[in-house]
Amino acid sequence: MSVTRREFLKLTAASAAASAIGSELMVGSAVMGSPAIDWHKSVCRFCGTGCGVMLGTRNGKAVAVKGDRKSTVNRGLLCVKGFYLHKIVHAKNRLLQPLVRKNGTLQPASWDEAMSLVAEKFSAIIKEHGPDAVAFYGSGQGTTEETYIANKLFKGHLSTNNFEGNPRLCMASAVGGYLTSFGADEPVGTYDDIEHAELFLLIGSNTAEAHPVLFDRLVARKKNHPSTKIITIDPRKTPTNKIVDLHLQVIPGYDLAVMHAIARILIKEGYTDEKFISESVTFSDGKKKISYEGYKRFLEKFTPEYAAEKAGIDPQDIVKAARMFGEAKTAMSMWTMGVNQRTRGVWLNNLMHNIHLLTGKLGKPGCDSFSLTGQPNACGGVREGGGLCHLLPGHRKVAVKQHREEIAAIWNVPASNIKPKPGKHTMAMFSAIAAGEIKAAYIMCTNPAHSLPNLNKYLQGLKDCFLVVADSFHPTETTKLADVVLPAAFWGEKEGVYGCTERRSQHMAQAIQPQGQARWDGEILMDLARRLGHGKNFEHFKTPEDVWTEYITTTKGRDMDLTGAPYSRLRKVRGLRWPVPDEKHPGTWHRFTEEDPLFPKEKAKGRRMYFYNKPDGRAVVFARPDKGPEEPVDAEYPLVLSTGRVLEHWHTMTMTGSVKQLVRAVPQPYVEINPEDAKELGFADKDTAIVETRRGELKLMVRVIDRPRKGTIFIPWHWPEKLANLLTTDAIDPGSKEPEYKICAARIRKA
Amino acid sequence: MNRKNLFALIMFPLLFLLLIAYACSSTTTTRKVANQSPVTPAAVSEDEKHLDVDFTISCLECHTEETPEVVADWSAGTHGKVNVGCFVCHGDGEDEYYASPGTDACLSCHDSLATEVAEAQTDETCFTCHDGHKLKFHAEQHGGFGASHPGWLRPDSHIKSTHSPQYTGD
Repeated sequence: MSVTRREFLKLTAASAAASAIGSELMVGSAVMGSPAIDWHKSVCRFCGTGCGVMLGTRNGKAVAVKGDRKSTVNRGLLCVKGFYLHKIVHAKNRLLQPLVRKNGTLQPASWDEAMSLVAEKFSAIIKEHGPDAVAFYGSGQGTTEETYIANKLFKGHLSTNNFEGNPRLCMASAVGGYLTSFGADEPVGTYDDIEHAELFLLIGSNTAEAHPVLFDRLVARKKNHPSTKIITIDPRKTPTNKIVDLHLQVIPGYDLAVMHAIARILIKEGYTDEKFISESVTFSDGKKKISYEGYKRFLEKFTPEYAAEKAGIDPQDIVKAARMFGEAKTAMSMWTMGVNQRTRGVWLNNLMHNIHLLTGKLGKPGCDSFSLTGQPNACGGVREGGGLCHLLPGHRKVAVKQHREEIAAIWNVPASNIKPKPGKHTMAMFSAIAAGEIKAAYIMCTNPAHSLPNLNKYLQGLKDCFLVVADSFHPTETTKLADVVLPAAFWGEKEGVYGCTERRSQHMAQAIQPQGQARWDGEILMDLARRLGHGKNFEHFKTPEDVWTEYITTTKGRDMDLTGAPYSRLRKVRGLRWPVPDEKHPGTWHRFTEEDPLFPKEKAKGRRMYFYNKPDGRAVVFARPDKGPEEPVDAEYPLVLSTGRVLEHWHTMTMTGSVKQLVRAVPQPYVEINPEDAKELGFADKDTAIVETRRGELKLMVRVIDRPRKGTIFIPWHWPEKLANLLTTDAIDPGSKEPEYKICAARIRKA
Repeated sequence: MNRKNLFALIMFPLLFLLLIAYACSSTTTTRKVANQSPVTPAAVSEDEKHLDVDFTISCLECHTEETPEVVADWSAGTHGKVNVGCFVCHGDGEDEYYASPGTDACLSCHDSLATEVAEAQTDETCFTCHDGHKLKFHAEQHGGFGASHPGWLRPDSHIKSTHSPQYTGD
């Protein structure tokens, strides 16, 4: 008998289809329309897009999720991850009780036992070694309220600035870019610009997989306005290419030259906005101010041919890209990890801003240089909330005396409690843990034993130090190493605010009670504060709303003013985009323009844009050298290794790994090899290979596919059983301290 | 053991039943095949679980090879373009499998059509009018809308509005 799988599939499908018609539809076809469901307004737990979602509950359980059609971010759409959020709430890997390591294994313990141990250890270590012997490592996934409480406890009361968060690993270069180019962090425009843009320049962004709902907006824009053009600069062909008109498939690490070459053509061919340049732009080589003429001279080297040779592309494509950008009346650039996770991430961010400043394509509908965020609250909790070692809430810095004094007054502590010297940035922090200088660490809502680069260097230190991990899930690579694991309430089980990519702060309702013994992270931190003798300044925080109310006082009069966004308002609206200085204010579309409530009309004197956080009100066009990657390929390690994401999984898979449908979509880790490389190296699809770098090796299934550029390989980093970060480099950008996850030298051989 | 062998081994008993069903049918239309099928409820249940699968590869990978025309239809439609995968509508195949999905999954994203769906005649689903993969109207694929599709002629029909969310930026 011979029936092929294909014939068989057809048979079974036909049979099943017919049997289902008119009878049993999908499970709970009554679910969506059922009056027995309570719907709660929330925000998606995954990426930084900030999609509005409605969480449906019945009898205290999360039973369904639908897109919030009133949200202007996603208009009811969901990506395939957000679609399953309700399943993740009740996932099998939810941690429901505290665990304490006894005789080498993690064992169930009471809250009191666990917290007593944490407080005792932290007290003893601070007493013996000083406050800088402890550290906090948070997350762009915690709520703003949680990060605020932790910040207040560690910087304000324990007096250590060893306070970091995982946005250091993803957004720090974007922050550096915005600060140096425009004088203030976060984008000038918002998502609304998408519906006005004639051209999109995507660089280092696999938008289709990493920001699917924004990708859908691009698809919709192109469908409604077929003349819309999309250019991508990326070493890899990705699903984003489905809608791309021109792809510059560069060698990883050599795109700085390409951006300079584009700028050069924009000037040479008259696409610049000279009035805007003369009014609102200044030029710098990174050390000192230079003239416009000096900048032009700097660019002379960057002919299309020079850049094309560096980047391994056709010079004509650079010319085409520049002309498309120049000719379009409106243009929006978007980027994410391919630009940020680089040893010259800040510089490349600057170069993105450069082309918008030169052409005046900024601060008006359809024009923006727009960094996409990877986590739901990296912008809100960590960038705005000051959750990094050099920051304080409300876009303030620990190094500025006035900033310390302002925050100390709100925190009700002596200003001397807040130390002026920045603490250890993420990689320095984990190095200090590895060196035994930091002896205790509290990790909240993140999984560094999976997500740090060059893991082999840091894992032993995490094992050796006194490690407290508060997480909703167990086991993770990090909880496995912990001394104490605290069960944290998950999304839907707590109230709070998330701030997304477009400066929008959105309220999430608590829909159900925390499961098992899980507690809100804020409550856990305040319990620790009490046990460490600092309870008094946290007593008035009875609810997350109390925390938010105090937090927004830190933003009053700042560039990210959220005074007009109290819970009473946020509960009703689909978020507000700061600055929103009073409760009547609708929020701001374009910063630094007349639309911005902080725009100083008198100083601006008729100028269209005034960058008020720069002393002269001018944004900076940077003449940065086109430095290549930290670890270029060589004879020994001839391939470029890049890591990245797939649509159906997110970060370290603690959430998506529990959803069978998503696991089904991409069941196994793999390494992508270009067909030409595969042929040369003798690999066939599904062979097993060993990928090696100077830091480690990994055995993986080979996927021969025309996605990575010849000479490059790609590994998605989600799977805990195949940690791509054993291979990646921990070299950092000297400005942003963000590691170069995206580029290192590798070699590959048959297993 | 390779994928095909594994597949054959697991599916042989069910295959046998279905082949009998197929052989019993006197016409070639799929509807009739199934309607005349003596397949027992238990067998249907197994069938619905789509256990005939090598779970080490993705839905899409297997179906690109096995049902390329379905994958081509899906790829050409909006769902393919924005990568709403097979599993969203059809389930993972192991815990749940919907050969012929209903409307609930649609409403998770297209909630603005909830009213139309609620008002629809009870035997209507989104797929009464839409091809599940291309997403085009069945009638459209056959050369225009037919009067046999009362759904789209209803005055309050959603077809007058657009399914795609309108981003106005308010």
